[in-house]
Amino acid sequence: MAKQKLRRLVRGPRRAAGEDRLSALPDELIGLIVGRLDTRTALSTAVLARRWARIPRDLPALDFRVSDILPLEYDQGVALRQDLPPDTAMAGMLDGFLAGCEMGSTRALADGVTSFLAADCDGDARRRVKTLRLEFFPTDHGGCIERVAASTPVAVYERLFSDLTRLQVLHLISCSCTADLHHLVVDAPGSAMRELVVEECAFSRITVRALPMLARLACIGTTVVLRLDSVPNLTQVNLTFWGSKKPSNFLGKAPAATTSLVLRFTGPSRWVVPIHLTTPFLGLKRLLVADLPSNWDVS
Amino acid sequence: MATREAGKKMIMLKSPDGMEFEVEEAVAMESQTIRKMIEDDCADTAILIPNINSKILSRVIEYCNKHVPTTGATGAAASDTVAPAALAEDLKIWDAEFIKVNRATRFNLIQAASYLNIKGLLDLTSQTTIDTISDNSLEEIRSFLSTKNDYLPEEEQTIRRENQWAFQ
Repeated sequence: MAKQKLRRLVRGPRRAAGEDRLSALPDELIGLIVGRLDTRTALSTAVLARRWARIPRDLPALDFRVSDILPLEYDQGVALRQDLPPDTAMAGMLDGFLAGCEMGSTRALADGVTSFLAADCDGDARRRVKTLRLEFFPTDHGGCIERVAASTPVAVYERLFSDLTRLQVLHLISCSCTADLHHLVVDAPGSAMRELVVEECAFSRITVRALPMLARLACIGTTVVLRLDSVPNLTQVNLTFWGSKKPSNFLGKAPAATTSLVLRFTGPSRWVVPIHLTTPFLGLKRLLVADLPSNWDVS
Repeated sequence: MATREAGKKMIMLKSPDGMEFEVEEAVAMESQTIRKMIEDDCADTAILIPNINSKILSRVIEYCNKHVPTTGATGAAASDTVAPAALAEDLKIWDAEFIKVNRATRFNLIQAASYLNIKGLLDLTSQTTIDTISDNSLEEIRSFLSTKNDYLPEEEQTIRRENQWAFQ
């Protein structure tokens, strides 16, 4: 009470009418309100005043979506492009425009995530974020994704695992990376990650050296080599392929704790050569194999 | 409203400034905090609600009274004759009218809703603040909150870099 009175005195009577009562609320409550904002607006409140700096750091869930910063004209461009025959000069121009938007926005997103991660390394800035969603491009607008790919080094993704140790759920959707290195290596023995979904991403190889808490893994799309080393808690695995490349050496070593496995083959028809796993699925209780060719003998 | 009727259990709520409010148990139980107290049998006599003055508490009770689920047993005939959609619409209009209060009262209501754990009221009271923060520039929000930017220029640079995603 005394403190409030003092504050009022300091501010003088003129200000008392528009009192900063929001700041009189405890941090948790401000966090609750800020947590209802979209991620970009929530992060921007950190700049209001010193006290606000830590409020976005305490948010439990953050959503980085490229669609949040795409210019309005982008959607109009996509709609227009769909109605055009592919070979007109207009289509070429639009493609260039869309690619420009995608490149700029993706670079901005990569920069944003990089600064976000860099700040997390400073001792007192520990975050409480438990869920982080990254969304690049949900749809493939003809060839543009490849050009955007060059702007995001694969190391940015690898740091998501090693630096954000409290993160429990990570969905990587339509994530691209530099063209020369499509190999994602996850080595995070200190990570609390429980759920990882890699959907339609550009990584052709994924090696999980260590993710001790990982319980659910879904790998959907074009990844063709998946190696799992130390994943003692992995119980649910969903592997769905539809890429044009040949899945080779998929899952060289089976995680021992796995109880549920889903396998789907949705790509073009191809030869599949059975190989023996170096370690079998010891605890497997449920197996779903879907979209198999009709002439397969699954006994 | 708060008259003693047969079959309705009444609960006494006390504000720290000494006012007492007698409310139906069902109304008080709109607050998860009070519900827990009642369920744990900590509510034999009056329940003291700390930090919430009588003015705010009476508004909270007004809200709970309006939002308590109307079943036949509590005697609200309205639910029998009016379609649920119309009832919801009616509640919305009532809420909009209810939240037309000054900022200080609204922030007090946020605090009360949070302490008493009344989700609907917390949603309603926070929303206006969220709208203000979403729709205005940082400078406008600062002036709305009468918060002074106390960062040194280099500190502000660092914090802007950390939250760069917001400024792209």
